[in-house]
Amino acid sequence: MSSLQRHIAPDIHHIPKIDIPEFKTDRWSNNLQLHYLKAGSNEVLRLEIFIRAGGYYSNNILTPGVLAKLCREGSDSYSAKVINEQLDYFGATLSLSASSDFIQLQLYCLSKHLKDLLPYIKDILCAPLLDEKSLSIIKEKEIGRLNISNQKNDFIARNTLDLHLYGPDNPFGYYPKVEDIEDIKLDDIRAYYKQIMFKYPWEIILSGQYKNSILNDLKDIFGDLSFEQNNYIRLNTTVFSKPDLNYIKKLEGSNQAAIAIGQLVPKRNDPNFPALAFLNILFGGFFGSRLMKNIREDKGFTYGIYSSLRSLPLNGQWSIYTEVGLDVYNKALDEIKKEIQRLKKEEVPSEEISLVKNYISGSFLASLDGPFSLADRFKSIHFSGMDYNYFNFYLDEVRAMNAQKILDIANQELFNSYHEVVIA
Amino acid sequence: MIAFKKRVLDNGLRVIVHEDKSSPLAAFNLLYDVGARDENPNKTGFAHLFEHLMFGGSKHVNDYDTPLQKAGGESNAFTSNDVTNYYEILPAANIETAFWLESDRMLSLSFDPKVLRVQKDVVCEEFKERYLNQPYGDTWLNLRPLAYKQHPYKWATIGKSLDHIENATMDDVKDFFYKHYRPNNAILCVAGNVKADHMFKLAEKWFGPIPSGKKIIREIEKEPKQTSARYLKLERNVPYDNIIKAFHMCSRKDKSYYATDVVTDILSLGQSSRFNQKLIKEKKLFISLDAYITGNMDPGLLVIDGKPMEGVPIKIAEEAILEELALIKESVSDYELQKVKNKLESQHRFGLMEIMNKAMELCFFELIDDIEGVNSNMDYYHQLQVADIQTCAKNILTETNCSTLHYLKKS
Repeated sequence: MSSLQRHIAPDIHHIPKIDIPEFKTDRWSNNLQLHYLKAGSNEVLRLEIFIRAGGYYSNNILTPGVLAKLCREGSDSYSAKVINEQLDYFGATLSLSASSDFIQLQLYCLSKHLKDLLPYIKDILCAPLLDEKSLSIIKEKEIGRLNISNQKNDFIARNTLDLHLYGPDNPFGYYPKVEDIEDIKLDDIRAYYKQIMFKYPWEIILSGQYKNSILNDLKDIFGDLSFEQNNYIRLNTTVFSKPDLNYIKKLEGSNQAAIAIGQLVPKRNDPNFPALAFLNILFGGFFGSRLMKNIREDKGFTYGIYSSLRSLPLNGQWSIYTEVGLDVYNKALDEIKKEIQRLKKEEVPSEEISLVKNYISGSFLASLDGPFSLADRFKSIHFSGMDYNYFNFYLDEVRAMNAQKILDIANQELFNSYHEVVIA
Repeated sequence: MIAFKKRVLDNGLRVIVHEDKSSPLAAFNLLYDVGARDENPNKTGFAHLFEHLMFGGSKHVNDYDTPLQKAGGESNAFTSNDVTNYYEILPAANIETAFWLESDRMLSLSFDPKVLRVQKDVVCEEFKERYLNQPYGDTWLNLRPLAYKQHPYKWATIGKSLDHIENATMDDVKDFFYKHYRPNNAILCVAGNVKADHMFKLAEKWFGPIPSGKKIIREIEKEPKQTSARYLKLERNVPYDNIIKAFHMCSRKDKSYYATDVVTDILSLGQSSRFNQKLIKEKKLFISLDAYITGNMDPGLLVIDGKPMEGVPIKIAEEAILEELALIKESVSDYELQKVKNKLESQHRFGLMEIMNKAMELCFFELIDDIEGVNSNMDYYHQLQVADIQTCAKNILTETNCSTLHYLKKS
């Protein structure tokens, strides 16, 4: 037999530092910024348009999302039917949605078809019909989706947590009731459109493999827009600071308990953010995390348990989510708390630290694969007001993590004060 | 176009390599030709439970994920009624780690009793999370035994019931492993920033010494032709009624698979499709309505799945579906067919962007004995004519070939 040493792992090579292909930015005379990167080997692209008109800017937080959906239901020149026929005929996929900051449009298509599709895209945004019949269909569908989601324990747990973190007047804390959707008035949607759509300059992000002439095509279409002002002001930014919440709700007929635990933390531009990101991975951010190893792989309480660290426009949010057996949710909560305390008191073994470092390097490399991933990375820094230097800073900070630094950051930030929600 | 090289090792393992220098990563995909259809009817859910056990340590490595994460990689797996598929993605320089780990667990698992005990609990929680604690979650647990009377597609991959999972024994685990997890029953593909010759050498080094297993001859009972309409009514605590109509169709290997796929795409792919345009927007009958196919290795199902709007009687909603099904048998335009072809072509091109996706496709087409199909399957679609679509619709969309599930909200 061969001398194959199966108990010895093959050598691991250091992950090479790669130069991240960077987006270029053109600022046109109307202050619209076009960010573009040519990458990838297939002649496909993604066009994204960001309009600062999201939940932060509307008196009614529900309005931006409904407006986004309504925009694609026909324009002055083209009916929704014509627009949808064209999109489908060219094999394109279009979606419009709203976040806290933006109404955003996303178009995927073969690069050769973009020019043919741009007039429709422009009309959708610049001359939408905003009609009553389409609004009523959107409302019905939204109510349907909401009624179904409201029967899911994990959805209720997340909402309850977010509501108590942010309060109902913040886009991250607000979840609509059925009545809120029923109450939407077309006039309000139209008024909001007029007020907001051309208030702040748009940003366009183009990624994929395309001919340079596309940049001119974009300018021909969007270069003549004009916007009112450059400096944006967010409304709806209040954050609740209620005392720690311990919320348990029992529902009829549950088979499992959904747990959501969360706290607010600093966002990406905080110098500690890379250390937080490191600790998040170690604690509950990947399959080999402490939470997974204990609560799934050792105890078998759950199919999955994760912690997630999000950087939002004004703050970060750190949460733990899981669904566990009804009879073990108290035990699962105890184990989660044990794992939190263990990270505050005991040094993390060096083996585990180096594992997490390598895992982060690998997944960072994977997160740069392909033009759309590169666009996502660009957005993560650009919309946080940072530049490409951040990635080097982030990787350097991750490499510099050691047992003491982990103890320090865990004691400083790891679930000292948090809300806990159980829907069982 | 996906360029590839293929070799077969002496022990029967099929090895495929696709070089893509544009990615810094390598994808490693190992498909085992075993799924829920190969289970004993009294021990269902086993193929999927087994997938969980594959991460619980092998002969020389007591923890699967840790060494992979050290190499900067990640792994996961899925089980279907037909296959079990394991995959890793990692920095290309560390690809040998995937060969080492996957070959060791093909050589032998550790058969640790604690792993079996814990993973049974984990799978029971998965069963609850996905199938019981969700509105409409048990739809397929009920639809399968309505549509299939003999064939093992009559149970879901998660299993018929929780006690089948709870009753699994270590002897079952060992039997299953030595029967199905042998090199001659597997297909490996590596895609990404790698060299084919080097990959074939690594395959020989790590997988070559693993002994071949007995050739498996599937003895699966064929589903008899359905000769009369079937109907089941369920009442559950859900906010909307749900109508599901499932029609028997051909297997994935059959060339008429492509026409069947297009039938459902004309009905519901994209905002301009018939269902979206007519039944959702114009007639306002449904909040959601989809048509899709299961694409199984043995004859599968074409499924229509819709939730009528509040206040729309289920009978009216169902008649509207039937009208559309009658229409597609008589009238499909060249334009509509071309539109669907364009959409499929576009989806295909976007699918070529990810190495993991390409590795899975290569394994899949090898499994259906048509590896060239990975590049030519768009041709099968392009060759379709309007008459092919109508004929296919006429053959499949008949009352006697249909199982209807009315999943109603409790009044």
